[in-house]
Amino acid sequence: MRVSSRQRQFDALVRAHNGDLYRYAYWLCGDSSLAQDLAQETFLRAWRSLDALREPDAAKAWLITILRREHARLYERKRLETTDIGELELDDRDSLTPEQLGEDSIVRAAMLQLEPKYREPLLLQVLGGFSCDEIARELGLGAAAVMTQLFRARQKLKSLLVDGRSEARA
Amino acid sequence: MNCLDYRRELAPDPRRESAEMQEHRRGCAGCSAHHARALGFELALKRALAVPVPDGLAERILLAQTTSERADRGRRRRLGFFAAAAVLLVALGLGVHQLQIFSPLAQQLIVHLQHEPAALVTHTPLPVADVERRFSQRGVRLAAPPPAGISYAQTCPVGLLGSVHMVMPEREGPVTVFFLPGHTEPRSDYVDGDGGMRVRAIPMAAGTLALVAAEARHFDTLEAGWRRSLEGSPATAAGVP
Repeated sequence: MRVSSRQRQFDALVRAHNGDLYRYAYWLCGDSSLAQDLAQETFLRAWRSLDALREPDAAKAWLITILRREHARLYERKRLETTDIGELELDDRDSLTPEQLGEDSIVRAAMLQLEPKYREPLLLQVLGGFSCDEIARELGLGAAAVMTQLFRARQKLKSLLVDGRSEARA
Repeated sequence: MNCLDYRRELAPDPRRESAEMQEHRRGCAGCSAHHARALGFELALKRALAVPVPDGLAERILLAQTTSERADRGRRRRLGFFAAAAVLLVALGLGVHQLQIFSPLAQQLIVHLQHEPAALVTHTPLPVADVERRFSQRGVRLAAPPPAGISYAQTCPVGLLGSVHMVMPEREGPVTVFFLPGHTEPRSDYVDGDGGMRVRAIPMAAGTLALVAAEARHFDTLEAGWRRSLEGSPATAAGVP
């Protein structure tokens, strides 16, 4: 069967970015199944408007923009429940020590407790690799506001981690 | 740059340092340690955020996309088919209306006359060769020269049939003559109720000769004349050399 260049482009797009999209979706909604649905719906929308993507370097930001809109639509339809800390998945990475795995679970739990206005710029920076200016464009904010949010996001996260470690030790 | 400036600038994005920040850090043990701690935190954060991607996610996405694309294509194809069918029906409807291709031959001939009124204007006889050429274009070779006085000769479609359309001016008014090669119509005489036009259809020379006029007075003479032209003399028509 002959595969069109459009289909090949889409295949490459999915294979290159499905992991990042899934993770971003996961941290937006805190639910693995929902994150998969969001990633899938994002790619289906991307397929329908693939001609709008001109620069390969812009693909990730383009997909994240679509994903954020999808998430906002989903949020409009139903209020998402907060994920219980006990439901959080852990990496199945043999190379990690039990301490690291424990630390990861504390960080993940803390991330989900961050307010969305702090969590989202942090995700864009850490997972997406975007600069402050790029995050500002994506979120429709000023660069200074984004820098403040990122600073506060880390402070709040560190504070939550201190609490989380204390609970883990207790 | 002092330590406060360095740490304030590092805080929003610990992975990025300007040249000025790097210069300060290299000369400041406290900020160097702060930078190392910040990067350690970033690494831990990045590792924690990198939740495992479910197996086969890319394949499931591609499957959903190709399935949806095939469904869309099927819908588009069905829509295209219905659109083409609708266009065909409309075209057919218009064709039927315009050409009346399924009407009886006599009616189709009268409608055709109404579409070519200019054919009746001229009275100057055409050269015989011109008339013979029109027959030749329809694949017909005349057995004898056509009757004299033909003032108009064209190859025309009548409904779905090909014809040689001619006009023969007579004293009582023009007689239009059609020869439809390859189409055999039973012999008939028809009088049009609306305009009073008369039509005679005569099977002749592997085709049909049709005479159309307001008056049928010359039909017998013209029929005999055209039979001679198309089939030859009675002897020739009977196969006598």
